[in-house]
Amino acid sequence: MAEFLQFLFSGLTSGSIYALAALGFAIIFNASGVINFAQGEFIMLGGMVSVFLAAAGLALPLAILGAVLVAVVAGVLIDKAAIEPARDAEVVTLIIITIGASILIQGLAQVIFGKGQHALKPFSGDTPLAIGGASLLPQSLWVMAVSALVVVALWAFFNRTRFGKAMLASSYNRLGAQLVGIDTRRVWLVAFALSGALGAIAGALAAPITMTSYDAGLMLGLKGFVAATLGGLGSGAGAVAGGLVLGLAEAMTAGYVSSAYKDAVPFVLILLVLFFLPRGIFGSRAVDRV
Amino acid sequence: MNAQPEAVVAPLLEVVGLGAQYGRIRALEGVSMRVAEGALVALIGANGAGKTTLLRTLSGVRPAVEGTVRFGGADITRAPSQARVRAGLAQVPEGRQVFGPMSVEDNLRLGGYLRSKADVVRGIEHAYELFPVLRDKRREAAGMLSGGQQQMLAIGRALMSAPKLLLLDEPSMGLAPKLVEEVFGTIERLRREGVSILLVEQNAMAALAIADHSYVLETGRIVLEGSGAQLREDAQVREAYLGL
Repeated sequence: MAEFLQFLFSGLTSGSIYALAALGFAIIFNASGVINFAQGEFIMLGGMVSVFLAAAGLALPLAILGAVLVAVVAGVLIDKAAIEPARDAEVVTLIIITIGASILIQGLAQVIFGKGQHALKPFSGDTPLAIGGASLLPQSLWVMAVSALVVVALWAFFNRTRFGKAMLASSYNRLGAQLVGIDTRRVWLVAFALSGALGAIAGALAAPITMTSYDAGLMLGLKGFVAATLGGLGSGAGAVAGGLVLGLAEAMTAGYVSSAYKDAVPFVLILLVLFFLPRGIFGSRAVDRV
Repeated sequence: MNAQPEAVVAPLLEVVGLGAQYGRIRALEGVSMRVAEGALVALIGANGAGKTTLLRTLSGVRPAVEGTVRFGGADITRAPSQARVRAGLAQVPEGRQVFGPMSVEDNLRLGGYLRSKADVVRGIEHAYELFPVLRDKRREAAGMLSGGQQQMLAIGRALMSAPKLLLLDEPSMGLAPKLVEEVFGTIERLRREGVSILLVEQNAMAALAIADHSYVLETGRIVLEGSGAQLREDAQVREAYLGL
C-alpha cells in the first residue's frame, strides 16, 4: 500500500506537469487549429530562465515571474513574426513553422545557457512529508496546488470573461466569430501568450524535481502532446485528464514493471488511444446539427 | 433601369469594380452595386456564381483584390471585419455558423460583442421578442436546435450588433416551406423597422417578390439589374432562375 501510494504521488506530480503542457497545446489548437510543437520550449524556458535568474541573485518568485515573461514574449514573437504572416496558409505549413521555432529556441538556449543540467532550488525545502508510509516532497505539493489553481483560473477565464468566451466561440466557429466582430488575430496572439505562460509555469514547477537543460523541452513537449491527444485535442477537461492518466501510467509502469520502460509509456498509450478511441477519451461531443 | 431613388444622398453601401479570387481562380470581377438606406436589395444567381464570396468580401472576411467598397460614406475596402461590424454592417452567413456547443443566450451575447452591457441586455430582449422560441431554448446548446431555430438564432445574433445593413446569405436554405415563409416574414419586418437588407437567395421568386431592387450575378459578374417586377418579366431570368 505504501508502495502504491508512493507511485501515486509520483504519478500525480508528473501528471500535473503534463496537464499544464497539454492545456498549452489545447489552447493554441482551439484558437488556430495549429499543433504548436514549440510548446515544449516554453516549458524549457520556464525552467532554464528561472534557474539562471535565481543564480543571478533574483528572489525565486521574481525569477519565476521573469521566466514566465520570457516565455510569453517567445509565444508572442512566434505568433507575430512567423504564424500571423502565414495565417492563410494550410495548417500543416503552420505546424512546420512551429517546429522551426522550436529548433530556433532550443539552439538559442544552448548558446546562452550552455549544455549543462541544472536544478532549481525547491520552493519550500526538501524535507519529505511522511504520508501513509510513503514520502511526499513539498515540491510535489507545490506542483499539484499551483496546477490546480491554474486550471481553475483558466476555467474562469474561458467561461466567465467576455474575451475568454470570444476565444471559445472562435474555436467553435471561426467565420461566425469574425462576423460578430471578434478580432481573431488577437485571439491567436492571446492563445500563444497564454500557452507560453502555462508552459513556463509548468517548467518552473518541474525544474526542482526533474532537473532541466536546454533540450528538456522535446520530451516534455511530446508528453504534453500525448496527454492532449489522450484527452481529445482541444478539450480542456480532456487535457487535464490526459495529463493525469499519462503521469499515473508512467509512474505505475516505472514502479511495478521497470523504470526502463517509463518513457515508452506515452507512445504505447497514444497508439492504443488512437486505435480504439480516435477522438480521445473526451472526444468532441457531436452537438452540431447541419 | 434603376428603380432605387436616384442618389441625392450617397447610398448606404456602394460597391465599385470589386474583384476577389480564391487562389488563382477569379471569383468576382468588376462587381458594382449599391444598396440605398432602408432598401431591400436581392442578389440572385446560380450555385458557384460568387454570391457567398461577394458577401464575405463585403464583410471583410475575404480580401478584395481590386475595386472599392464604401459604407455610410466611408471607404471600408481594407477595413478588418470587426471594424465593419462596428460601423453597422452585419451578416447572417450561409449555413448559420452558430457557436454549436454554446447556449443560445451566449450566442446572442457574443453577437453584441462590440456593444455595451446595457445594449446587449436590450438586444437580447429584442431578439426574444422577434423569435419567442429562442427565449424558451435560451439555456440549450445552439447546435441542438432545429435548422429553422438555428436560422432564427443566426439572424438574432447578427441583429445584436444593431446593424444599419444586414447581409443575409441563403436564409431559407434547407428549411421547410412553412419556415421559409416565416423567415421571409421576418425579413420584411426588419425592413419595416428600418434595417437595410442585402438578400442573397436561391429562392429567386420569393426574393424578387419582396425586393425593391435586384441584381443577377453570373460567374462572378453582375449581368442584370432592375426592380423585382422588371426581373420577373425578363425572359432570361424567367428561364434561368424562376424555372418558368
